[in-house]
Amino acid sequence: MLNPNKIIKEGDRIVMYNGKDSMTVLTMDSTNVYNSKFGTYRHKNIIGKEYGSKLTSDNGNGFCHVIAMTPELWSITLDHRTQILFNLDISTIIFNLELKNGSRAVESGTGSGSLSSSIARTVAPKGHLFTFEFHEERVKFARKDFKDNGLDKFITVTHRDACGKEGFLRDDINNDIDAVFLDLPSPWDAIENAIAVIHDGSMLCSFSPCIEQVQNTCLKLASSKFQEIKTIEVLIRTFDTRLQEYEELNLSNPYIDDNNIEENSRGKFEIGGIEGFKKDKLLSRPFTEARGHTGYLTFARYLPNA
Amino acid sequence: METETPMDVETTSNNGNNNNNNNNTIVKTNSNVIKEGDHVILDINDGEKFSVIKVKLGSKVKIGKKQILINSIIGESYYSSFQVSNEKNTLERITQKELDDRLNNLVELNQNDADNRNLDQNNTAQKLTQEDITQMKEKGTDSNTIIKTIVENSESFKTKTSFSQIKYLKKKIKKYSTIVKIIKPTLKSLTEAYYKKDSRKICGLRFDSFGQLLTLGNIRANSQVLVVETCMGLVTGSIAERMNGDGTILSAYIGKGPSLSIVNNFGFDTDVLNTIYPFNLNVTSVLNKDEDISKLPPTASSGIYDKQVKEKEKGKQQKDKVKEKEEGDNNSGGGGGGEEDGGPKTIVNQRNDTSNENIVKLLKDGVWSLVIVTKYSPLNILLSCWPYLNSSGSFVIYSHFPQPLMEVHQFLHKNQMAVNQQISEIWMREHQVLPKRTHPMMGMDGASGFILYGTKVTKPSSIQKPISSPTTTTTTTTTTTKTNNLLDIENKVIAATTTIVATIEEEVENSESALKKRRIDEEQKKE
Repeated sequence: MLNPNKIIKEGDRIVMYNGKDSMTVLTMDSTNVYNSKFGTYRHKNIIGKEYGSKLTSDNGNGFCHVIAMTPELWSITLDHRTQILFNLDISTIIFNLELKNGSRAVESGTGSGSLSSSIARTVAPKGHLFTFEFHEERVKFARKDFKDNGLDKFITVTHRDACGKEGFLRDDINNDIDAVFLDLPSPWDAIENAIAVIHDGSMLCSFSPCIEQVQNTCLKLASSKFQEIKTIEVLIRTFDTRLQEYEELNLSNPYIDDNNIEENSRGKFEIGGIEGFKKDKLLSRPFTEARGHTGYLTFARYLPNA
Repeated sequence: METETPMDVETTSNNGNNNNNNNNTIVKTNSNVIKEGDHVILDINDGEKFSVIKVKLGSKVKIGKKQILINSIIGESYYSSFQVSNEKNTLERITQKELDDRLNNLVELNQNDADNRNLDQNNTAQKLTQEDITQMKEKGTDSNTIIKTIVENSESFKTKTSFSQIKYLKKKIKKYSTIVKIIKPTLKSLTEAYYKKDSRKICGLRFDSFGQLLTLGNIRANSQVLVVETCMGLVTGSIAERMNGDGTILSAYIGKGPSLSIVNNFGFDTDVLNTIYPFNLNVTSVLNKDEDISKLPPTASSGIYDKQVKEKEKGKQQKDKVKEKEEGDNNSGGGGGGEEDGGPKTIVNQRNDTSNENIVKLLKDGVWSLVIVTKYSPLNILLSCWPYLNSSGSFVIYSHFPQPLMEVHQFLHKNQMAVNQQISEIWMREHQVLPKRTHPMMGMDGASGFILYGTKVTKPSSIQKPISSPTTTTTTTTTTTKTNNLLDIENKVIAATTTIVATIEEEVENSESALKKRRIDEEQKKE
């Protein structure tokens, strides 16, 4: 996922793109065949093509774009074993946790691994992500996914309850964690455990859908030597943009003399004695379906001496 | 669970990677301690103002109306708070606990229920006059005493609930004392500081949009990124921080020379600075026309700049000391001033090959991400850079306005140059979280700007589709291309769209000047 070549090779993970709602992840295996309503594609015909190519199906009827995998595409295509974090929340978390190549981060729970992949991209190759999940099945799936996506070198999955006695302690963690992310039903119960692995100046983020969780978390943070406590919510508005037919009526008015609306018109029509023109206009409006709430993001910095 | 954290041990994140597994000794560094020569952000009164300065022994910073000596911050930890001492004009260390105690112990708070049924609206509650307060200040009375006196002379304070009493005291504390917090310059803190200071200088790039930009641009270490920005280097520096020494950042500038002063404020090591290759955007333009690159003036090399600086330092060390002092004074004008305005525009201490020949080589090798944040219309910039973006690479454009992004979206869609495109906007709200008083903040920033992202694709030569249709309603120009050579298409397309772009630019400029005018009008009204 992290360093795609320009040319597709055997064993690569690729995305067959046929629109935002129609993407499939394939692992290249020259003996395999991909069948979809967009045609049949033998893997051996895909291997050797350039990433970003438009492929014609083996019978020549369908076509499909083949693009390289990114954490964003992964989070759209992965099996949603749990409610996943969305792109905007993920980017806000990574930004405010001040993650970069070299950061050492802790995450709990792993869930479907959507955020984990994004964090791993940001902290690799010098840094590391330690992710903790108490659901055994999810741990197994996450480990497999990270390996398949080539991220296993940068992510360690631990099967453990973040609120338990051991917390985030591991032999390879020595008060050197720069950022902790908590997505737990009761994040306040994991804050002492987080303090055990972080250092002066480390950042913490807690994601909670309910405001009562946020209140509890903030109280706990304030009494645990955290500062810069800030709760925000972010929502995305996506726009449907298209060149669309748009009709204009030719009506006279006393303000514009030379009302030359015929310009650029594609066709004429008449409605109730009024002349009208059809035009192509570049228009944009928000998509009707939007998300009203994902969760509150609470950020805080651990400053025991300040 | 009781946890002891070794407070005196500082660890550096960058040394501790996964090779560190069996190494149980913690690396002791002082990366979290403020040193001379560090670039720091002064957060004055909890976000009221920000100032970016370089720490020098003996330099002064203008805070409020006074010149304050900052010597005392050297050796302290980052994120420490300091109080401005009114008598000595210095900074004195103050802990969060002391600040909290002051708020809680200043005066006795109301324990009973209260409401505002008897609140007078006629501004007669305060018995002290402005002159009384000014006199106290001039005498050098400490802020606690001033606030106490004000509270004692307020009729309405006693009738307030304890919640609003605390709110009142916080306001007064901010007014009569100045707390300065020293912040480490990072992508996050610099964005916040510059956004607060003058968001226009960084193209209005808000933190959440910026986060999206870096994520959707697929910014990662060991990648090649082409960035075109007019944000004084904030975007370039941020990408460099994320990549942290691994990878290549081609940073195109528009104008005579690089304008990357903010890059210097990150306090990067040379290995990080060396990943940045500033170059004139005109290089891509000349390259696209297949013209000779050697005719172009060389990229203002930061290496040369560095030599000049060194020579200067050798010759006039004595003079420089005086000059530095003056600089410290001048650069911090208005409390919100910083070094960046007077500071070098190129990157200091950089030693990589930024010759045009090398830039061309790097461009031709291809980049995986194209990031555009400028005040200019994006379509022509994007198309000029397009040949150097690898197929399947990510592009992301930020703009104040949705219309220019719509043009780009439509153009790329129509010409089948990109897939997975999306234009989006962010709605962001901060919340006050306090027991029994949790609610969204009253004020909110409603303009995140707009982001277009997508993935570049190539067309197979077997598919031939004539490209024709007006891209906008404002022009009648159509692009008809019969050839299937992609680069050729791209070049023709650039020529054909010039008219469209010109129209958009005009619109943008008009609306910008209108905005400016309105802002000036408003300011005049206030006065």
